[in-house]
Amino acid sequence: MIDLSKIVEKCRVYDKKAQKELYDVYSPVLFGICLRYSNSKADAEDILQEGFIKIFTKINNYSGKGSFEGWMRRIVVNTAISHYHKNKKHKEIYDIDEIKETEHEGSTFESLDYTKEELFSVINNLPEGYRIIFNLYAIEGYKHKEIAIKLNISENTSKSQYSRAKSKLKKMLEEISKQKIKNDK
Amino acid sequence: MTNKKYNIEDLFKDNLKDYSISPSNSVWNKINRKLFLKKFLKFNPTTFNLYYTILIGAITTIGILNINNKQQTPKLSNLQENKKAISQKTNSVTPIKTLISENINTEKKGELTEKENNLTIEKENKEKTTQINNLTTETLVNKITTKDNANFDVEKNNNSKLAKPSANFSASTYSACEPATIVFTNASENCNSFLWDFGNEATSKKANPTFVFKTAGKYTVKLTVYSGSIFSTIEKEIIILKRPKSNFILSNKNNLFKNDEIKFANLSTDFSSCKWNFGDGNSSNFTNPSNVFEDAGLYNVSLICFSKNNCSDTTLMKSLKIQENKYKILAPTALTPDINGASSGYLQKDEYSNSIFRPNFNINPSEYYLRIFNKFGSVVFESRDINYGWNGYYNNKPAPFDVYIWECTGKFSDGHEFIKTGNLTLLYLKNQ
Repeated sequence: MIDLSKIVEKCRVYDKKAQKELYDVYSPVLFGICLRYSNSKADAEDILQEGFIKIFTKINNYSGKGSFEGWMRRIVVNTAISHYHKNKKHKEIYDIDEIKETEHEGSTFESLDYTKEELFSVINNLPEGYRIIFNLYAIEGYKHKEIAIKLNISENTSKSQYSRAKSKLKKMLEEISKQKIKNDK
Repeated sequence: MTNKKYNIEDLFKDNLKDYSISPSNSVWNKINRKLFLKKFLKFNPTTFNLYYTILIGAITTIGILNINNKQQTPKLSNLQENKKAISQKTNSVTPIKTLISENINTEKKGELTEKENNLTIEKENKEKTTQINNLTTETLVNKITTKDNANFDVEKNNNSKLAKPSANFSASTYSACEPATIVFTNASENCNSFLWDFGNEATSKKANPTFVFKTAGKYTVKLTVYSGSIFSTIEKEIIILKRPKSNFILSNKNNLFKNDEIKFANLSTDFSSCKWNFGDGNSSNFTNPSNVFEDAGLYNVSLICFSKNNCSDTTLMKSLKIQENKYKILAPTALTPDINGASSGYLQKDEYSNSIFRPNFNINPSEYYLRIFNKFGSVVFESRDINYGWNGYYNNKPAPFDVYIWECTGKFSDGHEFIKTGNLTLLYLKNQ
């Protein structure tokens, strides 16, 4: 069994070999996160790269308490968010008034099986703001309050954008299902 | 395809939270470059020693070199003085030459004055000059030849003193697995040059060469030793054995979970036996073994293959990820059929009944197959619908009181397969 704590100890003194080992072990999982937050592979790789540099240079801030993987995940998520802030000015901005309607449809729905690739394509096709909020809330498990602080928006905006994101996702998934049934026939 | 209810959050969370995919290779290089730059530019007391001492060292060495250059110039002038001294010495030789040439010149002058009168004298003079020339060249040639002779004599003397050369060598090993690095030690006597031939058109002139035999085969290593033109050779055979090539893959392609049987497929070639090490303390000598990891975590799995000649090759699979099993399958162990009439057998998710048996899942599988056997081995019930369980009836009658065995197989949406078995006791309550 690989001793993660040893690798972390070595990374603390900037041991090249240990850093490479850490990268080899965790880059796939962390890259999966990056892909969720970006809509292109190139962007995701940029986030991953920045994230790993933060991990390697800030490793001494890791207290040793709690899961190291969790710590790295948080760093990568935060990197993705700051990446989003950097690029935000070029992208769409939502006004709170615009998003008053909230949908009260049930969150469960009948569906066919979806492959991971399909789920990815659906997430990647969300507008960037929706995507970040959906990722943070549904997958990373952040509270709306935390998301509001992180994204510098109001808690209500987070909630309404989340529900919009969800209904958009649902529509896209249903579209895929229909397509699949058509293909089967 | 089965339709099922999904919570959209769970759908994404289950499928994408731990989604792993390798980024392209260039990312690590970029990280490395950036890290190096950051480290270099940052004035860090720990890294200070390394980079800045190198810099300071470089500056000081350049300084020292400059000073040395200045000190070397006087030495050069010394040398020039020496050269001058030498040239002066050579100048002292020139008078002799000039003497000779003067002789010739005077005779040539005589030639000119008596040109009209005596052709014969001219001829004589010519003969004389040629004689003089010949004389000088002869003496020179004589000197050279005597020198050569002297040298030759010395060589001859040496040759007569030296015995015939005898070639001999030893190798660090005469039989090894490919690719083999073999050190040859010269044990030759009375020789001053060597020529090695390693039997594959590779040669060496070193006294004690080291050679890498890359591929398996029989090689004849030939050493020729020379003493002047006399030589001696010796040949020895080196056998390079074929090394097995070890390689393996996982038979389960999907996520791996603890307490599951994980199968390994051996893809090695040219091997006769192998040894597996699963990284959890377990090992195996089987060709295609399986292992059960009892804890979640990362494991390094290694396979060492041995050939008959005891050549070995190792393959290491780094960081095999074993996950906590997120799937839970629970099943009741007893069933009370409704004797008043068979129930439909259908249950919704999270619905339970004492008169219907079915295993319960925390996450519904995408494929599902349940069979229940009696003690004679015949199937009393089967179902491919997770909501359809056994009501305890067989051939439209309540099945007899007994212990039954069930087996449930299937697949989850992420491809993880499962087989679960258990036994089930049919109970009839007295007051029913």
